[in-house]
Amino acid sequence: MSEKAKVSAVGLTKKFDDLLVLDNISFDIAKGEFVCIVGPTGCGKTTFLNILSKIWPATSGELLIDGEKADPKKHNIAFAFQESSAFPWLTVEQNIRFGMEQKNLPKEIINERTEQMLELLELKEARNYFPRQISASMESRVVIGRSFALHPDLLLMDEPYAQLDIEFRYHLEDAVLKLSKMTGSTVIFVTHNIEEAVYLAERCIVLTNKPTTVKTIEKIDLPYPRDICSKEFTDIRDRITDYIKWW
Amino acid sequence: MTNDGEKMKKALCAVISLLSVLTILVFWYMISWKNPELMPTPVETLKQMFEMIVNPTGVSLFEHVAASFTRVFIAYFSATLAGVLIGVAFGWSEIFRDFVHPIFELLRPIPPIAWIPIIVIWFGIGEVSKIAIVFIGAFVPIVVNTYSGMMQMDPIYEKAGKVIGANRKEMLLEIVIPASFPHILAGMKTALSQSWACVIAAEMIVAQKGLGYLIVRSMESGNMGNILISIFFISGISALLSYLFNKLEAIICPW
Amino acid sequence: MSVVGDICVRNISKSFNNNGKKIEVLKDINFEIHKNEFLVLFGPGQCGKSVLMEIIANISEPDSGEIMCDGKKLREEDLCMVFQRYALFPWKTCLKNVEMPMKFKGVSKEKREEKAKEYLKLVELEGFENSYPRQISGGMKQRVAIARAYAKECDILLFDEPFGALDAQTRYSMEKELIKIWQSEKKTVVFITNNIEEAVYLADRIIILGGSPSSITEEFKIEIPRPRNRSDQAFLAIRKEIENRAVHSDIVSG
Repeated sequence: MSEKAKVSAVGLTKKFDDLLVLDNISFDIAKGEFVCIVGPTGCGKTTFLNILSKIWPATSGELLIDGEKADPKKHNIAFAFQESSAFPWLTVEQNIRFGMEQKNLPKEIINERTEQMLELLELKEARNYFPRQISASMESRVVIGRSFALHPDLLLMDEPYAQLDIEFRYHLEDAVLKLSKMTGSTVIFVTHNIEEAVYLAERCIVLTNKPTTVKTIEKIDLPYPRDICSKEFTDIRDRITDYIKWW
Repeated sequence: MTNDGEKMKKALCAVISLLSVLTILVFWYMISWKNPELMPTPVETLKQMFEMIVNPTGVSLFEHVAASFTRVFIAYFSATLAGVLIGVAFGWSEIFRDFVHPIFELLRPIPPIAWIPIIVIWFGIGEVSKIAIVFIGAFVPIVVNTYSGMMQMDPIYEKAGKVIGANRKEMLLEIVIPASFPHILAGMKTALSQSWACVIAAEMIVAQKGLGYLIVRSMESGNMGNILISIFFISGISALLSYLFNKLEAIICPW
Repeated sequence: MSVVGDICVRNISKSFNNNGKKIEVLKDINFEIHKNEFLVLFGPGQCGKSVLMEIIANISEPDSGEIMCDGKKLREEDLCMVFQRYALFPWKTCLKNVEMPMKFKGVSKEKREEKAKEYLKLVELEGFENSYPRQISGGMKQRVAIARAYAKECDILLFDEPFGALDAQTRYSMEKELIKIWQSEKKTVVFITNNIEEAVYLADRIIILGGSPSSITEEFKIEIPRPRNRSDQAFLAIRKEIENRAVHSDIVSG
């Protein structure tokens, strides 16, 4: 597996002075795989994300992409975080084009992908609006579109629509799944919502409380689109809930 | 590992800051050494300062500092008291606001120094005049900040106050004023540096004592050393005051 | 302390002015809130449910209609409200925040301090009396806010999406706690949410607001015994039914 792995974490460890926060985290993710990360509240999720996104250096261990040390200059790592927002001075369409233009992609590819994103995320009618003119749910779709348009090697998502109304979540979850398949991007999706994780993930990495380490990795072998009411679904959901339940 | 890195970084920052001070000193030294008619060298200036403190002819340096300080002290505290009261009244009573605000807005843009002639004609050249000028300089930013603090308060505090049963007086004293407190403090901070600037200006025109007076006298007698010393004291005291204010702010506004 | 009975929400309408354009938000809302029931108001995004709650709380005026209780106008002192943004006073410690409603009522210093400690204990925040709101997590802030609302010792509690900003797990624990507290000290509760799972977990009855201007579109009675299990088939069935009837009918409106 690790030979072909697109993304591998090898013994990621983070200490703040003597305080051990991440303890020897290792996993492999295949190309195009959709992986969810769940853990109890306060499990060092932010630290984990900051290390994956290379904002902070790890104390020891490595994050590898295609077998090489992950390097933001060489690899294409994109983010869609809870607090991410669209650039207020750009329209919806310009926001989606922005990242691709920075990467100097050919014009035709930019045009094609932009149309694709606008279509899939139902933003066509809003393409010429500025972020302040659209709703919060639309803005999170813009952020998601902007990230996927880059066809990133690795896309890190941190509850990008935690604040949204329930009706949009299902919509968005389906759109995100479709996008990840279409662009072949490897996605790491961090969430507190176990139902959401089971709905989305091919595999679910369950973290422990601090010092954080991998408790278990659950393979979720249900066909898409998944039925959250089915017995198989609730069984998996309950099993993962039991791993992390603290309430 | 990261720990060491951070320590190194801090040490480096300190070195760079020190370097910047040194650069100024070196430049000063070079200029004054080449052109002694422009200014005395740092060492000579220091000597002269020492002389003024230990062995003054006439009014000592500390007496000048104390004179400026006293004026600021009296004016600043009365301006704070009056400014907060008026600012709160602006924010709280619509009738008062409608009545006084136009007058206030008309007078506000006048620089405090522009009041000097009127004040001197009315109050003469005694202490009252200088204190009045500093008062004007400190009063305006405090009123403006107090008022805008009350206007900008997150309306949720008012809603919360209402649902937990605050009456109008409690709303003002327990919720609106504390909520505006950070703004009031910001106004007081601006007012502090403003009053220090005003006192110097006032003393340059009408005084027999004080750092502002010292500068003007030294200019008249062509004593560059004394001018430099006064300037250092003005900037030093101003920096010290704002440092003390920040410390005080952390104590009285811990949230 | 007065003990209030059922509350009648009568013909409430409300509109706002937006650049000279009149926007109707609520139109002719009528419903009853029964004594000691846990009523959930559910509605999509900007459907005006918060406006409705502020009208009930008397911090906002309706254009027409009234909130009645036992044949009289509902009085402010009979209710308290918890906000999504906590609305704790950042310049006061947790304990002092909880003391506030009692201070306004004129309760003596010793008495209200003792009571406030009890309420903090009720929300499992012993040991945080002297912390300032900025020093504690979102879930804990909301616990303090709930303790503060209880400290008013009134019969009606209004919750305006109180757990909307919390992560899913903190939310679960808060929902469980809230039901526990409510069962130990029964009050009439009106609770706003846009999360169907939360609505089904908490409610005796769910009223659904929808359309534009908003009106009541559906009403569900939830008779699953407590404590409820979110992955229980009966629970999921009701949840799905509400989703189908309430949400997918006007999904485009957001």
